[in-house]
Amino acid sequence: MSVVLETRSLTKSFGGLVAVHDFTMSIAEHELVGLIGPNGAGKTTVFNLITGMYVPSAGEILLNGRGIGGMKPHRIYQRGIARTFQNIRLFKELSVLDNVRVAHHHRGEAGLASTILRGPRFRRDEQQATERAMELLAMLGLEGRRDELARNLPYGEQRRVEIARALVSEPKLLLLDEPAAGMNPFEVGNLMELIRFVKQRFKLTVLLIEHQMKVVMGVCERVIVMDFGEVIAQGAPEAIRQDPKVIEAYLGK
Amino acid sequence: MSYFLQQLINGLQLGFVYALIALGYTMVYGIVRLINFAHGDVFMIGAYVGFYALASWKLPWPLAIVAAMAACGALGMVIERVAYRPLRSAPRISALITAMGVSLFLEYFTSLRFVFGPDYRAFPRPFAVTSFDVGGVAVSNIQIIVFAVSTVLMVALTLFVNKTKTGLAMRAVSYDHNTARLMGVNVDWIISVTFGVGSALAGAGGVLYGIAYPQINPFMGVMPGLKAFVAAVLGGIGVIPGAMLGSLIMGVVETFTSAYISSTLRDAVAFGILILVLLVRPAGILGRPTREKV
Amino acid sequence: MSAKQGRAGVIALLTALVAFTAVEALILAGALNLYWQQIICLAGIVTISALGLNLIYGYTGQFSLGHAAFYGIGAYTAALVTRSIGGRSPVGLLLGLAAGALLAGLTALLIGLPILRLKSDYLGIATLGFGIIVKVLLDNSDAVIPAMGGSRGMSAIPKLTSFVWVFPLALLAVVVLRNIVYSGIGRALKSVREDELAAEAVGIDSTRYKTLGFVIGCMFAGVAGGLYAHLFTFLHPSNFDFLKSIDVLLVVVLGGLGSISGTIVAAVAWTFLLEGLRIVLPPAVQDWRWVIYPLLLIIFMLVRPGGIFAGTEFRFLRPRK
Repeated sequence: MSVVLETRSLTKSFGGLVAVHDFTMSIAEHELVGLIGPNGAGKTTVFNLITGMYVPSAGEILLNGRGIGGMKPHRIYQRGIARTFQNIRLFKELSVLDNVRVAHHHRGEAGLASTILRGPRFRRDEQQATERAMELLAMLGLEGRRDELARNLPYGEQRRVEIARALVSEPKLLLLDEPAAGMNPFEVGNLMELIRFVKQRFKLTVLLIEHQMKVVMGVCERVIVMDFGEVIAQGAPEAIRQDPKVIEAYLGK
Repeated sequence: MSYFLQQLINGLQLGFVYALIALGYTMVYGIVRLINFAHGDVFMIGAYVGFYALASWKLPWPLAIVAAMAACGALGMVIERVAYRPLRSAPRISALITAMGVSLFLEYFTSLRFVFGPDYRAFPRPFAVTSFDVGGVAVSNIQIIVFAVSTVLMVALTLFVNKTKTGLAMRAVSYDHNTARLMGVNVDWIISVTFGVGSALAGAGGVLYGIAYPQINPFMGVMPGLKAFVAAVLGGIGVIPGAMLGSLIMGVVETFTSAYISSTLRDAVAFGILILVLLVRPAGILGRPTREKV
Repeated sequence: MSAKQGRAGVIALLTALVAFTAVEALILAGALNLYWQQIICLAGIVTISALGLNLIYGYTGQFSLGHAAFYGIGAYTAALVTRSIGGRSPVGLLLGLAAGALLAGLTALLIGLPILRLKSDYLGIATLGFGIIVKVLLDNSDAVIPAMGGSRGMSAIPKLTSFVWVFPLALLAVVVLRNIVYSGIGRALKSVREDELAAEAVGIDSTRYKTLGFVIGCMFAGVAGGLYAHLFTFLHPSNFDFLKSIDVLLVVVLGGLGSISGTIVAAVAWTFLLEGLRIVLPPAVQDWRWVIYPLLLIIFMLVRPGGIFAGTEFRFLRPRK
């Protein structure tokens, strides 16, 4: 199987603090990998590096063998990496439909002139964006919410809108940052099903950060464990659970 | 060389007056994130209180400063209570527009004939102007008073903010209103005090300005107000030493531009420097840059 | 698209046509004196400029306290063009307006590229600084271009602006803005306003869209400035100072950020309020005009901090579904 994402000795430091150090990993196509570790281990920093929100201090990030380290986030998204955020970052004053359509905008061909004149390109873009967005919303059971403002949605639905937004332009790699945070056990069950479903449906490769072991053990095929910015273990979920180094990281000596 | 030093002294004199205004700006911004456009007009009111204290009530100048500080402090607290507090949970722009409204109101209300009137007034000189020769540079007693009074006030403010319980509460509120409230701080009162202290300093600045540049009118606060605010941003808004540093830089740059380039370009150079500094150090010279949490 | 909205659009267009004809008829019949014609034109000009700022601040979320600078650049540029062409031809005005818009847009691009990196209040302060720099340069402009008059002001500008020009251009501004706002580009602009980082994370080049919104908004100001120059035939740097930037901001906020309807209503109401107070107040208390005005402003903000049209639009301006 071919490697989709690879990091080589990825390092990020803020002033004196080294948040991620010598982080090397690779994710194969269609794999579903969990990234776990205690609070402050550097997991979200890894996401921010992969998606271009931070510029690496050292090391390389390769998407399908091509370096993307230091690229602007929008370029990386356009290359096929989409993400969700730990604290849900929807466009609160926009409708659910618009939240999803924005993420399809980079595929559009209409320029300013066509937009102002309502030309054929504009109409085609608009139609495609709307269709694609509605398809996603329907798949996630949100079609009835299309005209609601995102901020008026309950928490669980906001998470789903964020996932719909991340998927609308068919990324190769999806990064989920604590998707189950704040969910009740019933919602967590649905979420796990949803993750498996979209992975199949969109032939996705998924990397997810999660604290809830139920989710990690339930959906991940492989787990990477971080502590103090470094990889301390990786392997199948069952093996990881027994690993003394992992137990120590979580429980202390 | 002596011309250079002379201009430097003149620039510092202007800078110290700016600093007294800038401190109020920076304190208010630090605590409620509001660009209080009315602050320059509070400075103007201070100048007028000083004017009446000296010309009509015949008070000695230190008492005129005290009177202006008291009046402006009270005015600042009233403005906060009436115009800003009701908008604390509204969009920030609403408070900004309101601040602009308060500013216009103060300018035009005081321009009415039965208030201060629209005309320029000559500010009374409370003492004969003398100057001392310090190594070839003339330093006037006015300049010495401006330096001395501003320094005393700034030292007092620094002690107040760093050494008193109220000062500690102010720093806590500027960090986070809710946490401060949970710690038992009366947030409304602290914000009120901040407006009061900041406005009192502007009042003192108004009197010193009147003594140093003896022409006052109801619109005199607009440009010094703007420049003091810019100085606060230049130094790092919310940071008290930053406001002082920024103001001194502003005063000196302005004076040097007038002296060496052209007095008509003085504002352009001052604001040009502001933009350059913001581009290189968006948080200002002494400001701490904040990184967005993802 | 729903038939209801289509019909609302047709009705709106007809209403606009009727209003235009009615006012123009009154003008031709001599029922509106020159003074009122000027006020009506000014209302339209303020609308165009404020729509531009609404695009920048209301839709793209970029705080500008220097809008009047671009208004001024448009005004002086247009005036220089028509004066150098000579005569009173409408083609001259059209060229002048185009030149004014272009130069305002170009300046916005050059200044926007570096300063749009700044956030919220800092951007406001940088644009404020830019506005003051432009005013100082205008004050000293006669040193380079004597025709601009520097601090004495620029005079002898042909009077070419009339209601026949202002109304269609204001209408055009409304339509252009509406079409931008309800489009993929418009959604991109709004996403930058809502959350720049999240916008980047879904493929929106935030720098590009901030710059785009800023440049187009400033071009609106440039056109408005050109019309202004040929309405009053005299320009002075103080017409474009910091307070004028605040005036436009006021109109946009009073109307409601991100509402085209609000901007239109507020621009017209604001222009007429200032003049209305002049007429309503007896001569003895004319000085109170500028006391009452800020009081109304403060009271309005306290009562309705979100503006007249907080987040809503007239039906014909709403997006089609």
